[in-house]
Amino acid sequence: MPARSPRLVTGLLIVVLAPLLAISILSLFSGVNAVETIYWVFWGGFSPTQIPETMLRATPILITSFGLSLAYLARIWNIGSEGQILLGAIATAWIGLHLGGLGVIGVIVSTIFGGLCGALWASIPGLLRAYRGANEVFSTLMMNYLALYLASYLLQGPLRSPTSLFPETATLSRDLWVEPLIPGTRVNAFVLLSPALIAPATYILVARSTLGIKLRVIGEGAEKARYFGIDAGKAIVATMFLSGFLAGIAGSTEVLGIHHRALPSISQGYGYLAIPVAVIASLEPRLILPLSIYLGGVVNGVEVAQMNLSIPSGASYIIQGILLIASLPMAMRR
Amino acid sequence: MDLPSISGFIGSLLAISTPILLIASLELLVQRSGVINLGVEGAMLVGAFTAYVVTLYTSSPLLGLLSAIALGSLVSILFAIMAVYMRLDQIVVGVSISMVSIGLTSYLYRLIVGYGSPPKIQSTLIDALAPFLRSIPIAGDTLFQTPLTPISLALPIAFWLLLGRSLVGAIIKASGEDPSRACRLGVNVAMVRTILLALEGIASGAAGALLSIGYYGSFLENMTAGRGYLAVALVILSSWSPARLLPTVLIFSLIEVAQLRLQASGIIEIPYQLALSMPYIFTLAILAISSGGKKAPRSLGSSEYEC
Repeated sequence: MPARSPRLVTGLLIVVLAPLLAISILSLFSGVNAVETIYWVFWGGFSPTQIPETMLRATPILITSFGLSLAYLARIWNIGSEGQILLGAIATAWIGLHLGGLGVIGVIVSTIFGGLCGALWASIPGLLRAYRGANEVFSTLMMNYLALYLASYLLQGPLRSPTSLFPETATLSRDLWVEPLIPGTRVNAFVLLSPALIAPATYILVARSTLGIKLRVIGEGAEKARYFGIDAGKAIVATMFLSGFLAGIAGSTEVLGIHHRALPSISQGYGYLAIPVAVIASLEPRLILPLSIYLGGVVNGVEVAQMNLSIPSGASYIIQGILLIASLPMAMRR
Repeated sequence: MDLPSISGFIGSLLAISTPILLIASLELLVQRSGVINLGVEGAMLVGAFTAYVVTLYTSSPLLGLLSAIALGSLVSILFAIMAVYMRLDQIVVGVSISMVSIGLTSYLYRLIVGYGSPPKIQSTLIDALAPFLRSIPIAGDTLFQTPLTPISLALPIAFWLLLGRSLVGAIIKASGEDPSRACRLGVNVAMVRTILLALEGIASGAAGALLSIGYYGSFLENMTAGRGYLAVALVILSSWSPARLLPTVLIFSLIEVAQLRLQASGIIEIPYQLALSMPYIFTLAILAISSGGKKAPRSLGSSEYEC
């Protein structure tokens, strides 16, 4: 079992409370009662009618944080998931537009292709860290901005649907849509499959596998890794590749299951929200599912609160930044 | 090229180099003392926003500049509390502060200005400071749009002297090379770093104000667009030497001017996204080339030391 410590409890408390505190303070700026804001956040996130939408948002957070938690075991601090999700989504939509009529095979191929593009994007900072010693927090952040501009270029230029008013790709052919399983909601197979697969997979890999031990050894430094016969450079790139692959898959599920095309706002900060989840999950893997659902609900609820109380948008960026500072340094401390 | 167009070219070169040079010069001192501060991006953005709002309400660009300086240093001191005193990871603290700054300025901007097109300010910093410039010899106000430009050019030279031949310089370098030893010799390392960070906040705030109320006359969401990060990277590229920093920043500004002129001339079409992503591309390229340089201050990036 991974070491448990008071810092897990403290970290968990901070991750749970920080977003609520942030949105309360922001609502005070706009002259809205903080209690009312919190009420709407919880109503918008966790009331029975809202649960399906919350599950929808929890899915990419869950998938992404699984990959990140493995990277964090190896003490590789990838914060570039947001860009990897975005490019994975665009790649899925691009190849999907060529795979119409293939049905399930098309879905599988385009999902994997999205994952691969996310993985390739993540490999660049992986290579820079492994062979040039470039700090991966800094480089993955730069890669996020580059992904944003690249996506904007692709969606306004070569990949833009000629018939759409917005910068987005054309809609995928109907047989590639992963349709809702529960009538009246958008809950699709990805939303149901990922908790069933990923929650136990995280537990097994983090707490009960030799891979988990190997990753921890890599985190102890190149020298120690070499002593155990692990090439640290290769391992770092492989770890980045894996976490990028999962982020890319998260992007694919958004395209195939929900939007059926790629658009610039396809990731609502899921890549950043996955960071605190992954930090906690690398300490206590059983918390990955509840925490993903919680943050999915908070994002959903914040949006509902913003609409109902006319609070300006932009709160989510602040919440993401605060969660980053609240969680990552805790994992980095030895 | 005739004389006016040459002076116009140098003028726009210096306009671009000034904010980056202001930040990079102070960042160089900060890094020499052992701290890497990516929060400058946020301090710059907060400066740009504060200057705009204050100038909009008071119609005084000077008051705008002063408020930007005040809030810029506040952001920097916040960084110091978390990274120097609480000893949280410097890179993560810097990135988080910058992310929160983007969110907070966008949020407050929407709250104050709403969703329409932003009102331009009446009189810019450049108008307000023009009288000072006429007193500077050698074509003062054709080359230098504000006094910040000659200051930005003087800073690397001043810091070269400071680091090379003064006790203060020696204390800064000692804090960055061997903070434990410096501390045992009686240097208050945390205080040295905090003072330098506060000064860097002043420079970042001023640089941000120059963008919003100097050049643009208004505010845009995330209008600093990676220039703070680029300044940090340029310090690394110049191997922490103030003598190299000046030419390095000028060369990068030259590239930017060339890119802008090329775009304006319409000879080749550059997608605007590529132009906007230049600071991020350069930063990443510099990280790839210069990371792990042997000349890096030995305790750069680490706030752990014993005393």
